[in-house]
Amino acid sequence: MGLFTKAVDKRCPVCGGRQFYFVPVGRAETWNQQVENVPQWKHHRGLAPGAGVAFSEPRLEWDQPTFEQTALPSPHVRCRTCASLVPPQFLSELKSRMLLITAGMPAAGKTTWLKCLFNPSSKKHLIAEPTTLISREPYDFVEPYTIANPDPRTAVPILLHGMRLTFQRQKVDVAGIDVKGEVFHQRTTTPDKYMRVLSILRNLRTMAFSELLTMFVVPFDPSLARQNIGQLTAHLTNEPGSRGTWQGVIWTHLDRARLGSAEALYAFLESSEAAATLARRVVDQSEEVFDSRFVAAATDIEKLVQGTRNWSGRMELLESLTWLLYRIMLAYTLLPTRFGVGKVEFYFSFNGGLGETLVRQCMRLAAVLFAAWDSAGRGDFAGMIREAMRPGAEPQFPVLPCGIEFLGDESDGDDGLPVWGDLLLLELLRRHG
Amino acid sequence: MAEEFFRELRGDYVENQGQVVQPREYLDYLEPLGSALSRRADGVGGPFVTQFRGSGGRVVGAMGWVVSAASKRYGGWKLWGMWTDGPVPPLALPLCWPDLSDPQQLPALLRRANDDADAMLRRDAWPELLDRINAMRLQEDDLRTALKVELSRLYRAPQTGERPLEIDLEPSLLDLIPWIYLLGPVEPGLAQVQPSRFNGAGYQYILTGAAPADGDVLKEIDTMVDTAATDVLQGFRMASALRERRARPRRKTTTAPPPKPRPSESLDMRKPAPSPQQPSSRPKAPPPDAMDLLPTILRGIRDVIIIALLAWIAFEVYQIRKSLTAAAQPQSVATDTQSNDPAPEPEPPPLTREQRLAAALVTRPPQGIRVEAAAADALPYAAVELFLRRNNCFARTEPVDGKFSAAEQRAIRNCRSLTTARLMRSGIDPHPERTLDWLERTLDAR
Repeated sequence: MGLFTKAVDKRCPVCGGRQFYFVPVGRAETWNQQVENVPQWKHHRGLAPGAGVAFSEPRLEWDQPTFEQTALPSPHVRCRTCASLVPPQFLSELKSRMLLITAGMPAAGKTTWLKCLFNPSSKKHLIAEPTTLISREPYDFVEPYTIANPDPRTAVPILLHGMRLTFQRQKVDVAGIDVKGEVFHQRTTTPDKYMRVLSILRNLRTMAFSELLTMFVVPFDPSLARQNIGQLTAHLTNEPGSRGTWQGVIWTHLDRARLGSAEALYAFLESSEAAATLARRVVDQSEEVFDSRFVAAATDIEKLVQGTRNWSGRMELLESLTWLLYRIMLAYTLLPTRFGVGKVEFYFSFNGGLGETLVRQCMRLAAVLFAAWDSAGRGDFAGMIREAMRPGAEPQFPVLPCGIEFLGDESDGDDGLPVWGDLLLLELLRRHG
Repeated sequence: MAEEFFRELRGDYVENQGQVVQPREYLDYLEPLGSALSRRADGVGGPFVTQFRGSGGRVVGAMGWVVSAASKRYGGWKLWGMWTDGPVPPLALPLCWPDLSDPQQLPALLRRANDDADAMLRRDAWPELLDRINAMRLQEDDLRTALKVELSRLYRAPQTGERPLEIDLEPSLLDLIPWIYLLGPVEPGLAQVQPSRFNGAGYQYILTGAAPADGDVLKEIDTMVDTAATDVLQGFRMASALRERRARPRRKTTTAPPPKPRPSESLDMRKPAPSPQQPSSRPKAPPPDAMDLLPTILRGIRDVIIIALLAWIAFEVYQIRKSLTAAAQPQSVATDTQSNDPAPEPEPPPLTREQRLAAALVTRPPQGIRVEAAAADALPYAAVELFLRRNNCFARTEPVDGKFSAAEQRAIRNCRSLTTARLMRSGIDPHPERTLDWLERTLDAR
């Protein structure tokens, strides 16, 4: 008999199973051997029984919950049906748990972004961290890996992760499921995996949570060289009209945006003196990007972008505007120091939450720019955007802009400084609060 | 037209499509092959021989070359080679080896492999095929020595068909692999070769920048490798015999002559079975008395005397050497313990830096930090673990064991001092030089 047979709200996110068992921690090597004896684990991930699990470390020298059952209470539980390791956040109290689904194409920045969610190595460009006021306690294991080593390449199509956020008296359990981008690329090659993912997503939507968030990780890609996850939203059972879930976009790789012609940018913004001045300060690399008219300037830019049609013929200008947004995000880092307060105080309490006001303004700007790129044929989110931006909709189509400041030539996702990588975390706290 | 025995296999990371493999239905099975090369530069990789049970339960074998394609995407890989229904024939890898690493040669290689496929499957044709294996590289002393050391280590390792034997290799020593495959302890028909971890018999090679391992060479291995360098067929036969001996139960594999039957056992046996070494009259012999044991006792006394004499000679030589050393260093004085030592050890060779650090780490760890003996085998890892504890990034009460636990990996990510000290190369990969420098400074500073 399972441990939680009476707890009807506790279900496995992968198969919907309601019975669980405790497992001990062993070596990853042991896990790798034992998984051969648990065919249901692979089956529920759409993997063939004989397929191996791709590991990036050659010796598998880390600890990981094994498959063997233990009578002793353990912090690690597996589903009795599919043998999936279920992070405790999936089984926590209904009122405090949020479900987060992320999906994106390969190389969209999902792994980098997930690392930001768990605990980024560098916090220079984060909005509210480092701070002792917000604590994150991630569940150490993202089967078949650990959070310290989420693998960029694996045959496993879905990863379950969990994290407990604590802010003041709020405690939020974020139960996450990350859908690997390869699944969408290879949906004709590996249909089992694709179908299994769709089945898991359907299953997830029937589970009870205080919040259900679906985030699409979309890279900034003016060339449209890569397939966009927006083209597959229909496959993700993400029908327009089903606004029961909070759907949004994590817009990554904004650091790739380049300034085309500064003159063209000034010309576009000339109708708003505040916006043009803001642009000049950013282009001139002034240290004082923000002034008292920033909100007005950003609002004007937003209106100008919204009021412009035929973006497909003005891509260079659109990229310059995106570059402008990213430069503003970088400049935000200097503000708390300038005012002599901590980052988190600046965001939440200083001057009535000045930081939050500025960040939300940037999000609005990001949303209209994202919509402009979409209308210019560089995305496929039109349905969602139309619905989200209808009059009276609040919030607007949530677009969380972020980027990476790379330290050198290496760009494997490990050595960059995430820019605004904690924005989702702040949004989670805001929604839950 | 009959279907070819070997068919082309190619895979790559393709922009907009992700990782692809032709035939595409084998993607899931082949995906693990290149994963261990994630941190390697573009083009770095090696051979693979693998087999898996595909749809319908049929066994599919594949052989080829897999390299990192990190420039396309971190973790991406590229492979080329051949696949076949059923396991890859045992001699395919050594025969195809010279051209296997060149993707341009694949069509020609496939043609040749298919021409030889029939012979590869017939054991009686193997001598001819073995004679065709190119052993030029084995003429090189360095490679031969490295092969002997590696094979000796592999033959000494406990045999299990469930997990691969690990081989640490420099990319320049990849030429060892076909010989390890051919002469190693796992039957070539069963052995898989991969850079990644797998379940099953075979060899997992791990590409490192470390120098070839040093170690003792077993006598049989020495002879076998030298023989194979000049006569591959004979070397292969010796390897087969060695594998066969190794596969027998342990009591049968001993090379020492079988012990003489104990007289008391003979007495207990009512009807002893006759054997060639034991004439039937032998059990009927009377029980041995003291006179029978006398020659044995005398032999024992003689051996003791010889050993004592040898020890005395060694001691004298040692004293002479010591007096010469003392002349050069007049202040050094031998202790009483040394002078009373009946069999002094010869001067040990000077310790390497790693050995010195390992000894210092285990015997004189920093105060309040427990270091397990296993830490000495992975100094860069141990150095990082030590650093975390000394800089309050991790609990000092946790022992240093030379491996990163999940909690330690997290601490590595969060430890600002570690980032500043630049002891990590990337992620959880310690910098081999800087960690040792730091360890040296830390342990010497105490």
